[in-house]
Amino acid sequence: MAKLSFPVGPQHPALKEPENLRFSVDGELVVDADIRIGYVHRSIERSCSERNYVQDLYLCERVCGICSNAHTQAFCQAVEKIAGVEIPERAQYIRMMMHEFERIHSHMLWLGVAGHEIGFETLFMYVWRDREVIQDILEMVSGNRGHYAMTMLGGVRYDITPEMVTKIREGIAFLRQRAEHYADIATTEATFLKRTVDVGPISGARCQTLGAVGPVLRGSGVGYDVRRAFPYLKYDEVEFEVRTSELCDVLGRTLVRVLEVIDACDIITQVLDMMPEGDITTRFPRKVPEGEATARVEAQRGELIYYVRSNGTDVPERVKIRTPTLANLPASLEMVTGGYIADIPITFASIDPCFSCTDRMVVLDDVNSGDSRTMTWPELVKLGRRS
Amino acid sequence: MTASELIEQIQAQYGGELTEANASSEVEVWVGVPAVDVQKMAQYIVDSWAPVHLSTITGNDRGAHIDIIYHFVADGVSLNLRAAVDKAVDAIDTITPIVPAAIMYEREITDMFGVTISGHPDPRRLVLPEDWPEGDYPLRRDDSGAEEGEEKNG
Repeated sequence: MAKLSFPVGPQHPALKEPENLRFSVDGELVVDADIRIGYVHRSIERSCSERNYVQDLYLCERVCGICSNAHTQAFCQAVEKIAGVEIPERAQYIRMMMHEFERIHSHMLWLGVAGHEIGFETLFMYVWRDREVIQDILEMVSGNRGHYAMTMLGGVRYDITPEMVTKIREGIAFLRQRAEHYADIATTEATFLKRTVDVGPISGARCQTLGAVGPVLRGSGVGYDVRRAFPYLKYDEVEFEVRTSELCDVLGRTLVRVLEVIDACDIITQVLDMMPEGDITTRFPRKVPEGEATARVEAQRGELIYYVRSNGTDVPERVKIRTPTLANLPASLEMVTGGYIADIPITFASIDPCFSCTDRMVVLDDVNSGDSRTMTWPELVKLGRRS
Repeated sequence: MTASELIEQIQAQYGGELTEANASSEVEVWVGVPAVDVQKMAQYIVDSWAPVHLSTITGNDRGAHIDIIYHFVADGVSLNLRAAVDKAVDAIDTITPIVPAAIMYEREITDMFGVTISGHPDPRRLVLPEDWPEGDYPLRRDDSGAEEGEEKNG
């Protein structure tokens, strides 16, 4: 039987971002997948080497709307490393808190979307209602619901007041309790299990070979987390577990994310307990001495890496960004291959893709034969009914 | 493993051939090799410390040559492997058969810098649109780079 290829996109099958997917199917089974991206390429790396460090900070924040804080953290981490600037302790704790706030909001956003993809709209509604709590906290702390602009070179922009601490503790207690409830739903609710167990399977070894990162890698049992592997800020001083799951499917990735929300709540509580009084900024030089550095952070989608090379002026020579979605794309194409067409949206959603961050490449698992012909409607019906 | 142990191990094996070898922290090292040795070095890294994670590959135009930096994580150490590609050669061997995760990162290098990746299994264009002019590389800082104020697909 001839393979049938059909395009999906540039509208995304799961999220509201453009890229083009091409699936080859045999009946309802996907036998091959290919992706074409680049629709939202914005030349950010090039633009960074034509602007000064402060301007670049704003630019990097806008690489992604969901993980904006992770980008500014990684950029500042690299530049501060080159400049040899140590930021005040209190600022490090506040940055950590922002990092975990962002993880909570992103994972909850994802869980809602996952519910939506499998037709479980109730879950979507509840999760997004609860997510407003963390959004309110973010707005209270930074003044913004997205693009918080909290991280700046040499520290953070705003301090946390005692009134805020009370509200954060209240909100976090509520979110932790809700996350436990969602962990319960994910493991017991038949509607959810039917659509996630054994869907989008990939082994841990395969994930490692293909360079996957974050919850995708950990959902297949490989415990690589930058917060533990290369501790930055004060992550070596707080207790948390690197969550993994041996399930290697969409459910495994879901569980890792939900449990990470619970962990993030615990990390924030520890940070609030440990945070010393003091300055939140230190003086940062306008010109950065010549040098180069890499910075890895564990963004909510996985390892995010920045490479910065400075040349002694106030403009960096090169800023290189690799976002987690790009690293996860080859793995995601393997996940959909061999599965059903109906599982494509949830499988793609399970890597939590972000194409505005990624837009850089095309991946091809296998080149299609190139033959094309038009199928009649009865032929299509016949093809669809093949077992 | 610590960064200094890793450097010692590499130097014991390839001491004379390295163009640089230094530790920037306890968990990060920078190692340089001639561009022709990049496959050999990637194979050595994979054989010695598997499973190895390749985070990404950075390109940087340094004037006469283009720096290609492979950012590995090997046994808990961030290993940055640098190869300088002479612009007169403008090509480097692929490491994709050895490290499959490199497939997209290498294509990005070709797209952005015009460095040919010899033996790459899928050397098609990556980031850039199909109608992007040949011989025009956005991140290159010489004649074949984009000019000031130049607009593509306006």
